[in-house]
Amino acid sequence: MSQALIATLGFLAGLVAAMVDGPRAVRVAALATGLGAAPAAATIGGGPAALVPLVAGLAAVLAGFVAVRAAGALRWVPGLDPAVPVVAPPAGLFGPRSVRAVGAALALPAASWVSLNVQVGGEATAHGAVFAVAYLWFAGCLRLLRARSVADLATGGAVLGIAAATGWLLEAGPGALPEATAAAGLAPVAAAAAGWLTGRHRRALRAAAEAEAA
Amino acid sequence: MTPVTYAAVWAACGVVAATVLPLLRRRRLACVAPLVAGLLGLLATVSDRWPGPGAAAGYGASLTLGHPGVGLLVAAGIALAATFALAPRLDGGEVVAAAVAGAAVVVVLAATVPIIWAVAVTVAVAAFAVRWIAATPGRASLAAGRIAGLGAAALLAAAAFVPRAGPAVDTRTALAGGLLAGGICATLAIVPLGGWAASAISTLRGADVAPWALLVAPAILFTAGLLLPSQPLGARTPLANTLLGLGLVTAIFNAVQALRDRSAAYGRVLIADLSLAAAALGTLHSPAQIGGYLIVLSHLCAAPLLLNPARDGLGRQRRMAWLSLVTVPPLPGFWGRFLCLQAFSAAGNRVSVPAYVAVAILTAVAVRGLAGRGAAPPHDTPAASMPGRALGWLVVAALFGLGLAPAPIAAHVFGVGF
Repeated sequence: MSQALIATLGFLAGLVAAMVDGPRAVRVAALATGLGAAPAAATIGGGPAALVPLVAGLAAVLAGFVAVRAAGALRWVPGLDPAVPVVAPPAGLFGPRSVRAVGAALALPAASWVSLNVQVGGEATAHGAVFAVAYLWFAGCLRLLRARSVADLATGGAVLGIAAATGWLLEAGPGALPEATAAAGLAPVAAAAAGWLTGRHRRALRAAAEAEAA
Repeated sequence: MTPVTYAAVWAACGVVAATVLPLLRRRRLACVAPLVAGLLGLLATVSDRWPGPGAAAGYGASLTLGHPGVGLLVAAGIALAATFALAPRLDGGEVVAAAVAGAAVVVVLAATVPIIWAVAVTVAVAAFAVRWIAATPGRASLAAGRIAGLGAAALLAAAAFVPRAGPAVDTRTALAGGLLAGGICATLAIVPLGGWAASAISTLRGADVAPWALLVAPAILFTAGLLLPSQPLGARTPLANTLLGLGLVTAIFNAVQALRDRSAAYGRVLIADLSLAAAALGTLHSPAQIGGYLIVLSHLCAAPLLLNPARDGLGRQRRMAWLSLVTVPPLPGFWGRFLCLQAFSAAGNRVSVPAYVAVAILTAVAVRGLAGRGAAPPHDTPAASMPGRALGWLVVAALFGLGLAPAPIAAHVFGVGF
């Protein structure tokens, strides 16, 4: 796969990770990051390396889904809604998403600089792969920096886990799959934690609605 | 017991405490979980050599716990248990955060590859940040997630550059040093001048802050001390200079803030001392590491009394704890700061003068705490029970024991002599 295509896929995945919102944001961001980082990982380690980010993204979707269902099925426990902003108002003109869009645009030259000036791993030719990983890392940092809720923090954590795993694969080569898998494991853990909190809160809302109807 | 098993023990103790104790209506017994987890560290496999996260020349996710790491985990487990036992109230969530952070800290201390170390730091940061936001939603707790999370992200990025950083200052090596410096400073609250941690300490309960103050921050400090000498010159210089400069500024700033703000004085003193220890590491002189160990040990003993709010029945014990932080021998607050000052003096007058100023202000804060001003218990805080008072005196005895015999205790806990 050409380095330009790898970079483009990484850029698109980073855009999704930076902009996605809503109750499924963690899962969508993790899946997009996994899909965008897989070609970059394949540059160095082939199929087995590409599976690390890909499986991490899919595992995040699955873990988030299972956690939502499991938390909803258990007894009601009052708790935190991960999607509700902790301090900021929920929306506004030129609000948090606009800031993230500006940040995602600024991350483009920053990631380009990294890909052109920093050699990661033994091969100096994988500029597209380095760009993809750097852009995804910037997207994850952006989510953390502009986080307003636990869901935003979890999204940042999931994206950073997969980006770090791919970066480590680029650095260390296919022999570093165990460490890369540990880093990529942050994505399903973050998705499961956010899903658990979401499911627990949904259960509380449902119980309140039923009580009101009765 | 291998480090992986020991990490699982920490997590299991938290899960068991969080699920079983509420069913038995015994939430107050949550303190047993970190105590058991900490003491089980005595069964952990200890390596004579503690390689640290920057040691791996090749790649392989092996975990090796050194004597200082195990000593920290055991002492922090006991300190966490005492902090929980002396807390006016517990709601059960604290123990889960402490257990997850403890499990992550086992890996932080045992990692031999930078990426595993960075991932474990990230998990530890996530554990206490989510707990803080759940306990007290607000700007202060959210800032912990944002800033400490960004620090962890910087460490994740640094991991990719650390293994092949070279002696020459090329782009890659400079990035490794810069990202390591930024990550360590952000997770230790040296950036921004203790801000996120100070805000959290002033708004959260002591039992919620304890996992960061007693486990995560000391573990990052210890591993930073291991990372520094293992880095090549090009990466070591920015890391050491950043720790030295920002650490000193943060120490002075927080010491002054502790003098100004009596309600959150101990939190500021803790941040100032951790910053001072980090700055001393930046001098690259040998007394700094043992000084850092002793500073951490003195706070592990003082925090159970001072991190929690003042309560009736614990006033004298709290004054004794403040006395222990006065920088006069043979009090425990003296030895760690003294060794750090030795490191600063060896580095020259430019860094030793601000360090002496910071220590002088910290001493003034401790003297004021000894006088008991600003320690009135909040009106809704219940008085300490008789066992709580006895535990308070036990903590005081541990503090003064540390002051009277710092070398044997440091040798026993951390396996180091001075």
